[in-house]
Amino acid sequence: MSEIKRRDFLKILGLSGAGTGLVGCTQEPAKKLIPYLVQPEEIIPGIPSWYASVCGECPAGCGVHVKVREGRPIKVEGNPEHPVNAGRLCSRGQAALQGLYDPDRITGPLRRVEGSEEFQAISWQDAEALLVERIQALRQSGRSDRLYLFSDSSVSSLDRLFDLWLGAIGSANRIIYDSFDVEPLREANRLTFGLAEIPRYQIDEADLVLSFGAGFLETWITPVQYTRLFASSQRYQAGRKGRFIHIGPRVSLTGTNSDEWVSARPGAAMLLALAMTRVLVAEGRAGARGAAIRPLVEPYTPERVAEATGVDAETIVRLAQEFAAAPSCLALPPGVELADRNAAAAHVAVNLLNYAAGNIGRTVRFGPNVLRRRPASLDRLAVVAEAMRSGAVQIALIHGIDPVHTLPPALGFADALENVGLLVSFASHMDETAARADLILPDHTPLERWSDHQPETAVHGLMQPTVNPVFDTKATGDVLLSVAGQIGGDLAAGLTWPTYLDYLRDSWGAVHRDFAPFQSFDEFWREALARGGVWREAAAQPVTLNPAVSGVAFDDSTLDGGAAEPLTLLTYASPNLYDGRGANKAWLQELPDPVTKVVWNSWLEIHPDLADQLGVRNGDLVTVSSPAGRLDAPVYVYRGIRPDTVAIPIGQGHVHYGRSASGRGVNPLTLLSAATDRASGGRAWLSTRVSLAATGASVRLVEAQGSADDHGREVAEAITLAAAAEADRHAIEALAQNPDALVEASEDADPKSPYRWGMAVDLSSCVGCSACVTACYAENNIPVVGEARCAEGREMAWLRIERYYEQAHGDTGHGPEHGNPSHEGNGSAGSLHVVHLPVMCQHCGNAPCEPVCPVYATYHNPEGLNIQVYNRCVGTRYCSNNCPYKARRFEWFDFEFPFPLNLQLNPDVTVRQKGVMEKCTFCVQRIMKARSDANALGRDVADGEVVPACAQTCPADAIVFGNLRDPDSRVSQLSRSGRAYHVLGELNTRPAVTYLKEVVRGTEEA
Amino acid sequence: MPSHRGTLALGLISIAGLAAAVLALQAQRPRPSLSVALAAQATQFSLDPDTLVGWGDGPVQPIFFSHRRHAGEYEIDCYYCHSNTDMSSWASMPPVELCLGCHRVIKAASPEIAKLRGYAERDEPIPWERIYKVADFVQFNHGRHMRAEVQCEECHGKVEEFDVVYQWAPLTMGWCLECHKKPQEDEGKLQSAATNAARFAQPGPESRGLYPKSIDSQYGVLNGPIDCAACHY
Repeated sequence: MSEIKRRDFLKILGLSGAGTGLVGCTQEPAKKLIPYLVQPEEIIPGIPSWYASVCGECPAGCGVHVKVREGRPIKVEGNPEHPVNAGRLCSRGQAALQGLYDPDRITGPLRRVEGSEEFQAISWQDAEALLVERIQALRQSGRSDRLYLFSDSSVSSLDRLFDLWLGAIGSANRIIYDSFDVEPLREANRLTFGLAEIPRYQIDEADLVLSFGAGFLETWITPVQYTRLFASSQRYQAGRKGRFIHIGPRVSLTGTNSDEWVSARPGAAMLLALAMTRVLVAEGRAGARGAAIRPLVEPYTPERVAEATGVDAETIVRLAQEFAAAPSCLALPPGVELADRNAAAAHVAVNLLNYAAGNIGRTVRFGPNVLRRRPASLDRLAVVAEAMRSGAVQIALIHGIDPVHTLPPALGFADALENVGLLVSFASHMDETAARADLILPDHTPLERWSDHQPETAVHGLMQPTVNPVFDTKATGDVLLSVAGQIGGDLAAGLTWPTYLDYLRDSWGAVHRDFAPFQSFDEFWREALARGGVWREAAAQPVTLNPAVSGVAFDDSTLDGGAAEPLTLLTYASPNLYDGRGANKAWLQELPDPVTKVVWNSWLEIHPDLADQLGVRNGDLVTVSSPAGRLDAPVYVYRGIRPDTVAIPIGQGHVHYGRSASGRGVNPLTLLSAATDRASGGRAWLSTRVSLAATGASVRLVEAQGSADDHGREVAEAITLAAAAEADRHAIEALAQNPDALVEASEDADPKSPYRWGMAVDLSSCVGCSACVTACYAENNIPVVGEARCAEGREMAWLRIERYYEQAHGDTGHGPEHGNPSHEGNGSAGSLHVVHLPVMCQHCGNAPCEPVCPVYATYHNPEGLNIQVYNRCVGTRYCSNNCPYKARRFEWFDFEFPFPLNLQLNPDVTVRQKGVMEKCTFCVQRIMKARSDANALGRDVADGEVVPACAQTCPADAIVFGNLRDPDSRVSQLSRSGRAYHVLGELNTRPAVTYLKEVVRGTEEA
Repeated sequence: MPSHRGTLALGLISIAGLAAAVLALQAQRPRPSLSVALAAQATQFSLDPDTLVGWGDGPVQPIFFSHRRHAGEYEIDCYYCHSNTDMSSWASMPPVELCLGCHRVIKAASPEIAKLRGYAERDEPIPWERIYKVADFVQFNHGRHMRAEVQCEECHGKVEEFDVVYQWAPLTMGWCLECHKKPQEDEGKLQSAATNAARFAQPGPESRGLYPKSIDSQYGVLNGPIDCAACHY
């Protein structure tokens, strides 16, 4: 489309000389000033354009706004109007830019050199001709069914084009693949309610959330949306707070946000949910609904399941009673990583619990369903692998997935690929599957292409190119249409669109008729592009109990491994790397894992007792053996896992994929067999037991934070709900007496200044997801330093999330403060509570860094900011030594941004060089812009006009920034809360960052 | 400490002296003679090669473009070519298309315009020699200065009199601050030094020595902010 052509970003390379000029003295200053040939109307150099699109990093389909400067995307932010994410984004979404500008991207079509590991570049014309020739040969021999097409499970126009194209070729072999499928959930809903759909969980409306393990704040289904909904009911506000109980063998990132952790054996979810349902039914709390399900749950008394689940009967009864007594409640299923061979039955059990409590149609809502294509089961993939081995697959086309990395080797899929006649990969990056391909036809990355995505029933997201392709890539839709055209005949007859965009517009005809039949299509299309799609609230689908549910067999799941393998293996999706697709994004590798704080590596989580037994410490290598395979991994000793379970994150262990990914960590799939859930065919991740053996060797496991204990220094504070309400009462009284009172830190600015910038961080909202950290990297040109530098404590993050194991203070009789912080894992309440504490420069009013600077490079500005002037700094590092928060970072080296990563640099922020100190600036460039804009209008900056990158992306809305001199600003109001405290405030640093204490709601608090 | 400071000051003085000497030398430097080709070009534009303003100070550009002719003689507004300079942080350069808007017809036969057409036909932007560049580590917002009604010539000189544009202002921090530090001329906001002094005497956080008094007084008092972070971040 001509609109995109004009957005030609190469032509303006010269004008951006002003941008590269900021790179510093070490680079050649720009000597040329190169104008446009024809200046695109929508581009004014120096002023960003924003394009609405959809995030393509996971199947959740969040809406994004892409900030484009002079034709280059430099920042991705959530689309505030989009119903899925409402303006927020996770770390993976923020890092989409590093996928676009990945220096290891495939730069053009490649063909394997016969009998070699090497590829050679070929032209698109030759590449397509090769594919055409092979398809024609197949069709002539009448074996079109020997062509297979593999793709991901998202519902989109491309997905429909795949079906059309394959149909026209004459093959039915469309294999849909999803590394983290939710088939057990879908099947359970069919069994329980007769509806094979994925409902919306209204977490925001639940006073009590009881999770059986789903990682809904990390990777499960639609994590940004869930985090937002979770925070809206679970944060402390006006004396109330929801309660969240996490049941499972391991405290995941999601689990760290619980008010109580009930340590249960892996695979115990089904029995626990059944026993709790039975309690509800037996005590008459399920009303009329009880009669229908009574026979199903009758056998599962709490006493009977106590032994098998590792949770005592009393606790089960208490949890059930709490659940029933809550004004509104919601039980969430075991999710992906705890899906075992009987996962569908476990999901049915959780459905029954929700049904008994009357949640269906209330907190579990069918109608606005999450849409995913049903992926092929592992059994089906095993059949396909067999077909490959027998030579029955002549051509395999693989788009958007990396099955070699994400399938257990035990399935034999990777080896079978060797026997495919022509393996064609559409990958943009050299992933493990692409590395085995015969022909690579690289697709654009999501930020470069036209596409769409329907993540929910009535939500149609539209993706548009935000940049001209960085490399010689071509949209797969265009390749397929071009190939069809070249083959011609009947094949071309059904696929007459000249380009994929024409097809996409055609495909949106149906959406147009549905959403705006009285508007012209062009107008509808323009508006949809500007908004990022179209959406509305889907009608509710009422469901009733399916009589077939009585046939569900609640059998025990089986695990591979015998007496020689005593420990259950839990593999979980890395919150940073997802299924491994994030592994070559250096931001995500350097982002500390939210739970363990480990960077750039894999690890094996084991309980301290088990570590003692084996005589190993953090970093010691142990050999993990399962019936399917073995691997060596460094130990991470973690209190939040049961002694009978060990855990390894999924995502690392790449051989190919690029400089940040390859040769790093281990891929735990080596240990798994190709196990599936019996009823649904979904993957059973919880399927094997393992044994451990210390090797005697060790590696340096790099942790970004040393101790998880604040040693009583009140760095991270948690209080009980009662204590919070009490503190709030005092604060409200004080405020009533003096409504215009300002916080102390507001004094620390020029008396004439209308502003004293400050921040409030609500720890009861913060879930520790670390999206803010990645957003900060993207906004502020923060270099990535690599594992070795991280080990020296020289990571450059301006914002970090510290996590502390912290008991809540307060005087209530139950709940976590009475929980035993030991490692018993006996199902007792609250044995691990975690506070996530985002730490950035505190912009102290009485900053210790300022008086020690000999060259006056750091000082307090009239608006209360603690400023760092890079060109004054001579690198004495006195300031850093004197900073009690370790907020300052020193550039020990000139860090490189290898092409094309340098294209992502924000031209509004200086790229620092060796020998300079730096730290959080409160996104001073955004303050300056807001001030300048307000100035032009002849007024002061209003509340909410300055939003730093961290606050902008926070899915939980935990970070609030603003003017402390305005008593009505949100930040002022929060800073006067009864829960407000300053980290290390006793040092009289007078920080501008106010933390609001984490609140933990105990058993009997409401 | 005082001895250190002394050494530093001495050093600075000697550097300043050296710089002054260099500048003096430059001022005396003989005016380079025009190349024959350029002289021919100038003549062709009915300009006297001996009176070319700016020759020797500015670089030779790929196309002999005279601001004197365009902005001076023909009084074309600066904004006509450098549009959006009041909106954006970057001053803009006219796209080749804009030049051709007139020159498809005007002076189409001139060899310099043929060069221009050549760039357009080859789809090649004109590689102008860059003249103005603020120092590294400075975030300069062009639009903000325009909105503050700073006139073009205050920083760029009387460009309408230049045949060859050269860096008219030194673009040093001292030069920037010279203007920023002037009292605001708006009568309503003009405040005397005495008022400023009175404000410094007020009890307030600055009395704790948190930041220097000199940085204090930018709200409605001075022409521009003199806080480091206004430009350095």
